[in-house]
Amino acid sequence: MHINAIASAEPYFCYGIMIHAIMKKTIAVIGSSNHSDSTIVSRMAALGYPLLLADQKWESVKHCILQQHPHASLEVLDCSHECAWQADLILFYHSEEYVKLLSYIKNVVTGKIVVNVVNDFKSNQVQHLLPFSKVVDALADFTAEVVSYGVRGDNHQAVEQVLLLFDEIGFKSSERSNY
Amino acid sequence: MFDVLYQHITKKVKLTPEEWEFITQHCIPKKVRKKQYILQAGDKAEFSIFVTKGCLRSYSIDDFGEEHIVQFALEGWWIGDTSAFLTNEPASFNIDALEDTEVLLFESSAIDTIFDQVPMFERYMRLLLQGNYVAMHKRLVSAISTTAEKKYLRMQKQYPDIMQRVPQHMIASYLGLKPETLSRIRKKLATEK
Repeated sequence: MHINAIASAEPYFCYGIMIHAIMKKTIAVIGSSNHSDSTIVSRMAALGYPLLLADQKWESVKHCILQQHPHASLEVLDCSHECAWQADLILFYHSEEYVKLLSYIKNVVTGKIVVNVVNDFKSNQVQHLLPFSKVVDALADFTAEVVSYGVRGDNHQAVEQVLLLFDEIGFKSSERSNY
Repeated sequence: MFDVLYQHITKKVKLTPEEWEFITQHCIPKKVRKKQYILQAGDKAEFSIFVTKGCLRSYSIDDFGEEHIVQFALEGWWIGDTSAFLTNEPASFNIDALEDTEVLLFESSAIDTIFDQVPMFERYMRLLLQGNYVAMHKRLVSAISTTAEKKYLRMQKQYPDIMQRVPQHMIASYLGLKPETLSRIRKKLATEK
């Protein structure tokens, strides 16, 4: 199983000093698998984030990523609920069925950051549907030369963490005023 | 998912349905696979962990790379690096799963929020800490004044579930024994039966 390779990396010793890789958060990716989404997934995988991809349509993306990054830790699972349960953070791509999907994962995302990747900031019920999760909306701006993300949410710490994550994977991001 | 915690709390204190709902809204459900870490030494100890299914262990590693197991946690047990959790210092212990495990994670801020709204939860935690203090004290006395054989027999009596589910070399580590020593004790006890 790829997922255990990084998440269970044993601490080791070098000249009497304990070395260990800082434990990366496990990220579940729920929803679409189009080109821009797979760029995010690929970059997170390259940085060593254990990824759980909640749909068989990610299978081809997974193979491409593993060819480029053989040590990446990513796994495709059939079940969104299972992915969300095992994850520390959820990257949620909006789809027409989002209400159904969110009610399906609701009880296993309490207290977790759910990054709601949207096409616009207008109609948004995700925080309402997941009242006990830390929902952070992320809106991609493809008009600039480098893709950037506008990020907003009620929980300031969660917004900070998402900004750091986007920065780490090489996307410019900034906080947007909230609602 | 929450039943084990509900039973554990209501064995010690009474809760109203509203209080129980409030608690469930402030814990993070997580599934951990066998061998996967929940905490690594050096990281921030963000959570206090309640096991609802499976088995976790906490351990440190010495300068020679040897593991020293401090605690096992089966269903209905709390585990965490309490000292690091309370002081905000980097964790000294690693916590990983010995089986596929399901847990509920409580952030420090969530515990404070629950304390504010559910005074009975504070009482529950106090009772837990008292029990934990007594157990640690007994373990300390046992570690410095009891023979290896007595330690093993006591553990067998106190924690039969752990003895069934955890490999012998980890039992040895928990008791502060070499695996060979534990093996010798087991052989001796088997021939005496």
